[in-house]
Amino acid sequence: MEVSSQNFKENVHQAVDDDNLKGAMGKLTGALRPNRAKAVAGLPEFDDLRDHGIAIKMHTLDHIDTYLEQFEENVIANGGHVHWCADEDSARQTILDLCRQHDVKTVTKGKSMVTEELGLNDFLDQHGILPLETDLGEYIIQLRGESPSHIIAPATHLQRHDIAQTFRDAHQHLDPNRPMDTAEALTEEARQELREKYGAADAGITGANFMIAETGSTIIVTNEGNGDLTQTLAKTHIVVASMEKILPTMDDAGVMLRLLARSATGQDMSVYTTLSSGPRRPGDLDGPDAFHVVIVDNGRSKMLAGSEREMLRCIRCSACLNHCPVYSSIGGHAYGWVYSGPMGKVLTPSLAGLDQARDLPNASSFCGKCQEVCPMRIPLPKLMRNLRAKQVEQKITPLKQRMYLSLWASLASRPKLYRMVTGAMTKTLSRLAGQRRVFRWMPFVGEWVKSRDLVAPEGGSFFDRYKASKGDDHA
Amino acid sequence: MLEARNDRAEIFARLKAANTDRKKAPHPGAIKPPKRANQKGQAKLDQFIDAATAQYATIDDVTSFDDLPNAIATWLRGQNLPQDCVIAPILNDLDWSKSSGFAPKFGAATTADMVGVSVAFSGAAETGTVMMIANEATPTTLNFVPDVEIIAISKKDIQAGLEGCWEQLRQWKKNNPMPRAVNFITGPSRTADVEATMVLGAHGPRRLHLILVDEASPWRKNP
Repeated sequence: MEVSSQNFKENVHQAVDDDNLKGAMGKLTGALRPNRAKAVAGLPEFDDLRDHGIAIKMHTLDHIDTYLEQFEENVIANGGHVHWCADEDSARQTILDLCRQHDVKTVTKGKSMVTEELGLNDFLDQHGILPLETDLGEYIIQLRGESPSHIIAPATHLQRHDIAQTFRDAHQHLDPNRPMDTAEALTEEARQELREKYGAADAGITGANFMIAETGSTIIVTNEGNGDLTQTLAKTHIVVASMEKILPTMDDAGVMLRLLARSATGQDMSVYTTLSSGPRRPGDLDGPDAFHVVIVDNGRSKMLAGSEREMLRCIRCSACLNHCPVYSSIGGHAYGWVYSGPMGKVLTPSLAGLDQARDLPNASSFCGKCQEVCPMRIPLPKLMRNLRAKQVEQKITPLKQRMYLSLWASLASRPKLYRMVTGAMTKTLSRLAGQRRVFRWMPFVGEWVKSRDLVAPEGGSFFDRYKASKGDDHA
Repeated sequence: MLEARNDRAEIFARLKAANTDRKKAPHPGAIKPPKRANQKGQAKLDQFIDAATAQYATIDDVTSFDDLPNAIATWLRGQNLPQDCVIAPILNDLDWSKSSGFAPKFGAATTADMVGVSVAFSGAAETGTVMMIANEATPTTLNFVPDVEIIAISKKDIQAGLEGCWEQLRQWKKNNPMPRAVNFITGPSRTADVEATMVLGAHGPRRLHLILVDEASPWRKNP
């Protein structure tokens, strides 16, 4: 998928003025935040499980080559095939070759963010293979020619009336006066439209939430059942998975599944959790004839060697998006790539390039909620700060901003001068402020003051007051 | 035909390089099961029923597998559902003729089938989940294609938590290949993709009816 994160600022301006988006985002966070809180409260050992899950991930990343090799051996023993792809070109070509090898004309797809990363649908389409998304949210945005705005709720930027209009345009063979004003009616319509498509598809492509080395299995976690229909009814099943999804054992998967469902939708367990381990066995009455796993690096090994290594613990639950004040104000599309919210602010610069996503690590209030709700306790604010530092080092940060930063740095590293300047500024600002004690205009920060009140400082600088209060009862 | 690149060597070289000179973290071992994944006896069965019901499954209870045909026919009639079922071959030996007007068919399910019947391999009381394995005796399509899914599970196979399910699968693997598919199922299909509103029956079964059986399952009787 093309990266348009460079347009972040314009995207944000559009998003905050979009009342329809505001309404849609309110519905998402209004449901998912309390759901998670309730599910976490229902498992008193949640924090212990988190620590255990993190330990599993750290161990696995330290031995990732060994576990990936074990996974490969077991997939082959189960009758499947494994393909290794260093980058998106290699992955797209490999999948296309597999499609040609199996004479594939049509593909059904389960929701997969890594295939979004690859821009797989457009690529297959350009090469004469018709991809059809089957997850309800993905189906809706495919009809609209959009990208997902949320990793687990891809159409969350839309409201019912938007979806009704999309279906009215796409399903012109249906009665134009049919009732379409409920979530039930829209879900039913998509169900009926897709019902016969699964068996008619030559291949089913799914992602993987996890891979298990012990058994050579890929795992998908869904609520709709579309991923299972996709992989069970098509003649060939192709799994596309990024490398860091690997786990050593089934028991490790048990720990992660408990964390994932609660953190994502607030369920104790998602409706369908499926392990896929090869093609149909002799005597089986259903299942695909061929099973392929396409393992994609596309920047992960670089992250493993670099300072964003901790981000590879991410299990794609979306809790950081759902709880982020920035994400819930601007929605997912503003971020300009597959991954949005706090995770996107780290993943997009790490995978697509720091120069491609200049504003993303900076668009944070650092409230820390993302790290607090992350089941893998990924230090997202710290990682964003690292990326900001890298941007300055690599001169990606605009010159003016870097000049202010070095000015501030030279001031801050001279304590006496710093106290003198801040003390003088406090007094001056206090004197300049009118009766309202609020500034509506200020050099250098005009944009900031436009929508916020800058309150005039009162009663001296922090240092002056700290000095004056020393020896008081604040100990 | 274009030749796909094989990037295996390149990828493994990078992974190994990234991990050299690192102090390797040990595996934390098995978890201490959470309390809710550690119930026993009747409390465990009650927990299974409560959790499954909370996820919109319906529950029935019979003594033996021989009681299934009658229990299924009665439930379908009560729900005003068609009596035509597609049934997992593992239940081939039961006397399905006992229930009048009942038209059983054995095998995999197609989109024409309204009701599917299968037998769980295991289950977890922790979340009211049943575990199915793909096998010639229990085709996977039964779990996903029909509108109504009926699953029989022996009470002896209901484990406290997921760990018990994995253990039953490990026992099975001692004498059998890894099943092509393992499906954990918790309630009927659903979505919340439209305005975060939960709707049952997205693409998979609209209803999940679980029948608890006192007797050991055919999986354990003739493996």
